[in-house]
Amino acid sequence: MDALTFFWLFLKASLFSTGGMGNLPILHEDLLGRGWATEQNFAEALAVGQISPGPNGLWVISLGYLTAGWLGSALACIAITIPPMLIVFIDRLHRRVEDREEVKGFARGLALAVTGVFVVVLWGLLESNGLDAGAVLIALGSIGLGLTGRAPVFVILALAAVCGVFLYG
Amino acid sequence: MPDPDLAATRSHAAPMKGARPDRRVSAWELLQIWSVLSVQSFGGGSATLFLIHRAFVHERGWMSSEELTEGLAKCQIVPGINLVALTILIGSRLGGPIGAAVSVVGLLLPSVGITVLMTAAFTEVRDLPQAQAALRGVVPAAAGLGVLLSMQMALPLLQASRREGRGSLVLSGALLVGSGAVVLILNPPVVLILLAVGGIAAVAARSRAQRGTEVPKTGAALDDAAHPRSGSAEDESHIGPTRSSGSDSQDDRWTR
Repeated sequence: MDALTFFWLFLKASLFSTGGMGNLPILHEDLLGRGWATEQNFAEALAVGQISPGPNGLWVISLGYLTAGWLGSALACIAITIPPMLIVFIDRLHRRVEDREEVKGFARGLALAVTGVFVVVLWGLLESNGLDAGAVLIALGSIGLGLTGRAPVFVILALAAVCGVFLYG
Repeated sequence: MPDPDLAATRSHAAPMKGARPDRRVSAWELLQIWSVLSVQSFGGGSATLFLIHRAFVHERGWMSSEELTEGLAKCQIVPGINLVALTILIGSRLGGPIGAAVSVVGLLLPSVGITVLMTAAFTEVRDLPQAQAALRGVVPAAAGLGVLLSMQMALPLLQASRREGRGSLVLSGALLVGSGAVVLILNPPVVLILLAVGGIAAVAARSRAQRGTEVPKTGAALDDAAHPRSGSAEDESHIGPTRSSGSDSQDDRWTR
């Protein structure tokens, strides 16, 4: 694993996606394909990223650490900071860009595709984690709690951890 | 959100568009605000957004709720983490380029540091059977929350499509399901799917717009065609629903 390629993969994933989790499908493909990360690494990083402070997109920092240690998390941090800087230009071009139907259409298409692919990747994570009745119940329960909008993410995940200890411990 | 609000938002936006910030806040002050916010923001993006809203809208009144929502909407089309883009946007408006840089450092340094430490702590205990059992429980929950996030992302897009007509809704639904199905069946490079689906949606939006101008049914459509950026009353009412739906859902998310 060389640092430059590692950095480029993380940068590329963020450049070609929007949102904190949009880079997940691309990273999943690239890192798994090279054998630099495992499904388990992704599951762990997502879990830590949901609990830790800051944007959910910081799950990538966790992934960087799990796959390449301190250097990995530092490279991941630089990689995710660069693409959002484009907001400065977008902000300036806003009027012109906003009114163009193609641009609006492209942004929408991109978001739809990211969402569609994202669900498939999540399914893969669930499967590799061990798909049984307990896992399905935990997933549905967390969706239900999330829908209420009252339970903090931290609490939902802590409850799930307790369920895990009871079910699989 | 009713249209008058929206009109106000749009007219506000015009003078703030440039690089010149409305208000100079010192770099040191921005660094402090963002770091304090960052340390408190356990629980991911929704917690962070809530704290940003509280710090800049409620406590200091440096921007309106609408301005923040509009900024966030713009951040949706920027690559990478929306909240980092939003941080850059707020920072540059309040303190210029230095303000933007300082704000990002303030947001990321504490939260990234804590994330790394939490990951390191996790790797220490991950071989314990209890830790593995706990993680086996956490992963489905994280995946479930991810699915919920996807639904929340997809719903406003589908609603906006529905307002444009049945054809647009069917296309959006097909693109959503299709991109997932293509990954499952063909498994091509993900970037290709994203670009292809974006391209299809762009072409569809363009042809929809052209059809709209060729067969103008109302005065509003005529006016749009003649003065696309006029910002007339008709223009507002035409664009209104699409924009307000996005704003509403964003508002929901951080008032929770």
